[in-house]
Amino acid sequence: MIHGPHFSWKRLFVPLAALVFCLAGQTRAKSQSSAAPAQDLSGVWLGDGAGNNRALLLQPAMPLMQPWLKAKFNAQGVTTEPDPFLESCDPLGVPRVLLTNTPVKIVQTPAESVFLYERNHDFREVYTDGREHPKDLDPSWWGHSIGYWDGPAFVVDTVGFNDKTWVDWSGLLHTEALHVIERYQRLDHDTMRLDITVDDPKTFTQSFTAKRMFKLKPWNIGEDICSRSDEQHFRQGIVQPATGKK
Amino acid sequence: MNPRINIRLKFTLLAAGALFLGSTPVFAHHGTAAYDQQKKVTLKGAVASFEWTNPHCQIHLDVTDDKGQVTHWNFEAQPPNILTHAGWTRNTLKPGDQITVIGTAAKNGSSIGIIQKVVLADGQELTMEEK
Repeated sequence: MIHGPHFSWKRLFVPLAALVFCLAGQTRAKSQSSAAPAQDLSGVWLGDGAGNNRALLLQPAMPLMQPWLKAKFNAQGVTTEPDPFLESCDPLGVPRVLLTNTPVKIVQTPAESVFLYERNHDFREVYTDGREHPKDLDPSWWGHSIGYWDGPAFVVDTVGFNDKTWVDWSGLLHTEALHVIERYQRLDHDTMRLDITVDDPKTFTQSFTAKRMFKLKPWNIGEDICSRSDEQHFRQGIVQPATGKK
Repeated sequence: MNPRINIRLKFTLLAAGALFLGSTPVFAHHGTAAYDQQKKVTLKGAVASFEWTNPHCQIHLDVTDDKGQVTHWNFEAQPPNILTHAGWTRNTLKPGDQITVIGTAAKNGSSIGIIQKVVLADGQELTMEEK
């Protein structure tokens, strides 16, 4: 290395030490600000991925399907069933709502956590007061959810679904035996991991799990409502002239 | 833990559901099957109207060719909630605004398309992606 005639390492020691000290302080402050709060999922979260055309299973999922479900897909692996959400604005249900490209707001209270979904302005109540699932539940769009903390993870257990929703956006159907477990865990202040477990022995030969990552957003929940009049207007302006379908 | 829970599979995108324009993926929850992925269009015209509505915003564009003939195009965009996070408002486009639309046209030859991005008269580019 070539130095000028007046170069001195001693002269550089003080500013270099100050620089190192400042950088260390910034790193420490950043790590402190990004730490996840304990047992707190409050906020607006957006799942990863660019769209909600998500399949819950790797394709082809045929090996996991019971024969009756396999019969609902054509040779190209595309469902032959009409989409209950797009055709009728039916509620998405669980776990399909977990796969949308729109955010969810989580509100925690001592007795329950409430999930407010921008998609269709739907909500779910997850009871955290220690109750069990009632026996002989009437089948419903959103089922019955209870939740508890397992260390840093919030676990949501849901049963009691009707059989009118899709498991995901690819057209996986299910029966009233569907049992979904969601496991939410904040990895840092702005990042949350969700593991979804799907079990329905009448539909799938084995249960399976899938993962999605979420980011905390400084947003409000908007109105992404599926209304029949809006859908009709869209079909008249876009779908019918582009496809000929009415 | 349920003993049946023994398989771990990751999410994947349905190949049929993903439409790529260049390196930018474009998604529509009503599907993109009506559009020809090879049929990219860049059209300069005047905004006839801008519909800020679910399930998808719509941009009506009057495009005048060299012979003075006007073709009315209708473009599908993302819904208001997503466009809001992409920097749009319901007042971003007004009737008469001269804009350039980059998108993909319908397979059947109709004047219908799905938008990738819009370039305003001052050169500002607006995409469909949340920031």
